[in-house]
Amino acid sequence: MSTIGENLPRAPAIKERLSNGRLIPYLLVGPTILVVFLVTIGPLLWSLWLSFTRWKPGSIAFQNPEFTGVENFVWLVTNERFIASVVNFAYYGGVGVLLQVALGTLLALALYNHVENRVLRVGLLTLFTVPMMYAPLVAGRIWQLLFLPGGGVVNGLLGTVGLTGVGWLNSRWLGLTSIMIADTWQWVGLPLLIVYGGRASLSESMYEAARVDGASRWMTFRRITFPQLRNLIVIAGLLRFMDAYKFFDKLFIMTGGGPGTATELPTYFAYLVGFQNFNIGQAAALTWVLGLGSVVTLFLFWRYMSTVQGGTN
Amino acid sequence: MAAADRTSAVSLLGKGFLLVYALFAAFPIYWTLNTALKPLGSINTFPPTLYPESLDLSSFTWVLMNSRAAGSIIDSLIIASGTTVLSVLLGSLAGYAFSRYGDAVGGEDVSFWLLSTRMFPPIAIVLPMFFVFGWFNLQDTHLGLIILYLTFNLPLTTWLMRDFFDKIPYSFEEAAYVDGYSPFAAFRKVVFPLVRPGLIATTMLAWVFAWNEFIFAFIIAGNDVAPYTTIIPTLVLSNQILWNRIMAMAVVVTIPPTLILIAFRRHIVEGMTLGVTEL
Repeated sequence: MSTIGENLPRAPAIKERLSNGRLIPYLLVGPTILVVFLVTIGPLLWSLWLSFTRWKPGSIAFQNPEFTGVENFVWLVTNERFIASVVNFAYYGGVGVLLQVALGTLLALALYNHVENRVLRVGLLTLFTVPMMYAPLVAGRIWQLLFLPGGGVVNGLLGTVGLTGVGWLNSRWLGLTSIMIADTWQWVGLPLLIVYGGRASLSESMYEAARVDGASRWMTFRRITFPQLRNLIVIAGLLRFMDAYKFFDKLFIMTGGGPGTATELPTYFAYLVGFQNFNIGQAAALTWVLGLGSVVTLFLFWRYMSTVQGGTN
Repeated sequence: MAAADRTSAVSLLGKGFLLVYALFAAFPIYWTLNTALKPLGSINTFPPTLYPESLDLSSFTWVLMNSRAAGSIIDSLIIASGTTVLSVLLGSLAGYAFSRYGDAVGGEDVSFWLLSTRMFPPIAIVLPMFFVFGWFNLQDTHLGLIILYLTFNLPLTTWLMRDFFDKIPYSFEEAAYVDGYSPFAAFRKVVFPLVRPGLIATTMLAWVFAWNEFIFAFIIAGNDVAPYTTIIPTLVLSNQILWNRIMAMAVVVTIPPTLILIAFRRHIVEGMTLGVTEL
């Protein structure tokens, strides 16, 4: 910018630029950008190339990557197992995220409005958020124990009150729902914290005015609280939805995609294609489709954040 | 009076809802401890016993004394700490540049682009890296996982540190320059003390994410170097899952993140929500 209007384009020696401090920002950012290129961008680009090849390192026929054009992508979109996993993803990502965001919002508002004691409030906040700090794999293992088909804790407790237990992890939709319950237990804290922070920052004078006008609690929620917090609620939902693209650990430990292939999600299918079948080209195509999906979601998130920030400033 | 009744009814409903959810949230945590303290034979009994009839500490002794279990915790410690040091160091430098020389280095767009690399599914990164690590003999090594964990921690630390530096007005540094401080002295005496809480929270978060990682460790390591997450799926003895040992391990490995949350709650919350609570 500063060169505009100057007569000649200058090429100052490195030494001079250093002494001016102009290089400092690049020196500070450089190592990070370099690392990200070496461990993320580079490998991903190589994997993009692999997605157009056939490569099965375990077999004799395709020891080295061999260019096959869009063959892997055609295989992918016509693969029933993949399509079923995308349907599972839509259920898990759609219903699961809605559940977490709705529950988190309700908990945040209940905590803010109905718990006056500060110690109790902090205690509950900590209890609701502590599962977020657990390894997802550990959380999955704990819930697997609770949901175990024979002699599991949930069925056992149901049995003591005379109810018959169900096979929580033994069918497609119930299995996915059980995993969703475990995931909600772990992650409800995120929307909760976001909404709680938002509610705490709202000015009390609006609520005073509503009270003076004799507005009911429901009216106050619908006309003041919800519209003011809507942006934050959407952001919490998008943050959770982006995590759904990475979902692996709980599925791996709780059902392993089973029974059969019933509860597979795309990431898990990609793992099987890549590291069980060692069909690297197909797995690369699959992971790139997933990656593009998450990038699109991120783009929506970014655009939403910009409009929201533009609106408040 | 009717309005007041309704208000107290709503309040009661809210409190009841919180109580029910608190029980739901606490139950799995309690059951982990309950299972860890039972002998294997009395775990999957009907009806389930709500507390251990006799305390059996052998599972905890196993976690702390068995070379494979204790070794896996040490492996996790080494890897999580190594990757945290690297990612906080590099991320702080980059975050400072993004905050202070925003336009020169692409500002928010580039730092957001960095953050976006974190959103790629880990399986997409580990697939090519599996072969890259094969060429460089980094499979099943501490260093390999330390490097691989930078893929999610470095974008995070850069993004969070930029956010924390942004909260310190640049005028503070300018004032220090006017007083004759060098840039380094200004950073050390003015900026660093102010950013320290944020730096600590960033460090803790990066550590917890690395500590809890599974899929990279599972695919790249698991033999010579086996973080605790790779041990937890394997504890099976002749078709019997060793629930008491698994849950004892779960208790032990969740203690550090739990303490971190309690000690640094405010700042961790900011980090976990990527700073959006500041909107």
